[in-house]
Amino acid sequence: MPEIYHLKKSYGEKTVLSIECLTIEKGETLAVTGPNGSGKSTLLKILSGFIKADSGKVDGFGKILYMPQASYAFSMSVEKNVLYAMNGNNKAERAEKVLKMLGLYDLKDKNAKKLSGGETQRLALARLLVCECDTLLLDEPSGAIDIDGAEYVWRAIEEYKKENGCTVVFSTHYPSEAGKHAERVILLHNGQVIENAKPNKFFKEQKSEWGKKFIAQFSVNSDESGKEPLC
Amino acid sequence: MLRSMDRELLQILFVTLRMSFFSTLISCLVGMPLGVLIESGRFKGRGLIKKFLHTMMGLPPVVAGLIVYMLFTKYGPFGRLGLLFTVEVMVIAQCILIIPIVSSLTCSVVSTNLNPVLQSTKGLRLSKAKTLRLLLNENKYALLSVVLTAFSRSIAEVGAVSLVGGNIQWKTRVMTTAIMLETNKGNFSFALALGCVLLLISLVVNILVGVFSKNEKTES
Repeated sequence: MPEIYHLKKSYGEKTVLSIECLTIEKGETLAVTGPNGSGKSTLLKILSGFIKADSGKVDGFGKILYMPQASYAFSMSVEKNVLYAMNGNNKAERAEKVLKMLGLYDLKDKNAKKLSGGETQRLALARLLVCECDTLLLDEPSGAIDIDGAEYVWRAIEEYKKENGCTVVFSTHYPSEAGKHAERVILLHNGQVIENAKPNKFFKEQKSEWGKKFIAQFSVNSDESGKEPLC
Repeated sequence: MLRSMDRELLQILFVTLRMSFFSTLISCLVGMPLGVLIESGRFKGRGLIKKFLHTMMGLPPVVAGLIVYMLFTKYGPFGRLGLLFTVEVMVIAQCILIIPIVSSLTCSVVSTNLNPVLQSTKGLRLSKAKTLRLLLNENKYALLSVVLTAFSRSIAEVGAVSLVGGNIQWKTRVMTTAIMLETNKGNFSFALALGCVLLLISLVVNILVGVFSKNEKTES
């Protein structure tokens, strides 16, 4: 079972992450939400090994694949981008399947540098989904993507999870997205976990005052902007 | 003289191109991976190594030539190899000058997109070999410009190669040392002919650098 204990990360005097204990069920989809600077990306970078924590223990995540917030396309065709990430047999077949899942198959011969921001993000995800892993870490997987593109993204992640039985941890600014696609949601504030619950409970009963304000803000914004209602 | 393709002129051209080709090749094979490793690595002394390379970029060619001369002279540590006054030792002297240039330029080139590439390759758990290949591919046009810069540096070199090569006719005489000699002798037509060939080669190299830079901009 993936576990995090006494995880701390500071930059100079500022503590950006401080998590006492967090466990994730194997095969669970966990959403990490919170405002800018709350520590979401730092948490994912530490779990992926991209940066080192100052102290603490991270265990049980197995083989991890990580998609950073800013997507990067390699200087080759879309199809070659995906093939470059792969090892083993049946590469072309697997690549075709994933590209179709993400709505990129028609662009497979296009120079990846000429893709739009949303297409590049889907391509970055495609590179991950052609490989196997125990834990998938996604930093704002639909951040730069429109509604249609986001449908491709979430459907592909669900499909991948069904096939591989992996644990998925993703970060998002939008609690509604967390509620829609996750089995559990945690809210980070100043690097600490202040809410940790299944989506229904997360939106209906918050333990902290700050958590209540955060959810209320999105409830008001949802009403004003016409976004889909919180669950 | 150019039209008649004077035999000695051709021989000088051949020695120059042979020396420049091998010194560029070796400098790039050593300098580029070194530059990538230095820029992408996080280890103690990395900053010092970079400063050292920057300093070595300004190494006076005659000093490099003097060091190599002392190493390969009859009573030097490598005297037994008998390489002094050969094209091979000229290549060695040039590599000492050009490797720091190639490494430093490679560091600069790679630093422009190092972070996003490393984030992607680490996230995908790609091997170090695949990461290195990708970094070189991502910067191929800029790195080709580095190769051409190394070649330009090599072909224009005079101090080190005249010290260790001896400017021997039919053996180690290259265009730059020949121009110096012929000018000192008052044989201006020969010196001018060599100068024209050297200028032509520099022009071709600069045009190629421009073409590669344009390709890089078009691709991105």
